[in-house]
Amino acid sequence: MSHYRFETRPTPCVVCRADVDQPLDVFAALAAGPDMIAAALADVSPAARDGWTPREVAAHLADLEVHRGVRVRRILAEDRPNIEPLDQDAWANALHTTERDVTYSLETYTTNRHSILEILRLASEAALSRTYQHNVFGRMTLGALMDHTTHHDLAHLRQILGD
Amino acid sequence: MDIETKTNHCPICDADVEIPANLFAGMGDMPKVIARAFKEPHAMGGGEGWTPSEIVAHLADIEVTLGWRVRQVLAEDAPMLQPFDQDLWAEALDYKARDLATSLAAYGANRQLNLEILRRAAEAGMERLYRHPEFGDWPLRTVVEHIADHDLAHLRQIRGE
Repeated sequence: MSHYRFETRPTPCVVCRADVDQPLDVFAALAAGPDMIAAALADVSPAARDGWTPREVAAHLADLEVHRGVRVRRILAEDRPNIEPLDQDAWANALHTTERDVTYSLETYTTNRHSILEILRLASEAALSRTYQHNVFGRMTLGALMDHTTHHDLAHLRQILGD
Repeated sequence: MDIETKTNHCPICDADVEIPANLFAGMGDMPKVIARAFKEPHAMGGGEGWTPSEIVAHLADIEVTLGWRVRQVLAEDAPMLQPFDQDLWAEALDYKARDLATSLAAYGANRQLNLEILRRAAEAGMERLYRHPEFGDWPLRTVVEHIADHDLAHLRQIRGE
């Protein structure tokens, strides 16, 4: 797809149990995600859309990146922590995603992504093999979580662009 | 101190502590105050104790955790908050090697959005309850005020007070 700045291939995701557009270079895709989302948001109105508006998508990405930031830190610092899923619709309703400031959302999404990438790079490649226990999906690796993150970014990029 | 404070009892620390007199305004100013404090004449420069980059890595990690907790408490029904070991985090997350600018940016952006979410949640949001395995059941306000005190403690540390 022309919006992407890296190569992808259809791959089954062990986290969402679906065939997804999986970037081949996960670190490059993680680094590019916030810039691609920011560029897409600059081209559309933040409101007026069936389903989630671009403003809501930006708030969702910010909130998920906060959640992910804690997950990554716990997986690196604890011995196979239990990770509980969140109810994203409950979060969206309770956290006023229809009204939130797009700039704040983008800054939070971007700076948390930069921190996650820094922490992962400092932790070495072996860190991606560390595991966590998910209430629904069972034992998973940090690498699988980061793979999932990259195609989650891309799904919301397409949503913002109305593809 | 360039932020006006008041004394407050923190049930998490079980102690009387200082927090900003205007809680949200003071917390909103804090990332810039911390960033400036490193340039002050008596600022610590990597002597004994944590270095500046370690302190700000810690503040950034605590702020992302505050963000997670605020969202949980506002969106879930009296959630059980997960404690973590800050010394384990400092070691496993390599605070000694973390980049000061990356940590400051994350601390500032998370603080800004956490406050936006708290302002929208209003007083009713601050009174929502959480459960904690060590501290028991408390309103969200106590977590936010605890972090405000925590900010000021690290500001004093940076300034060598």
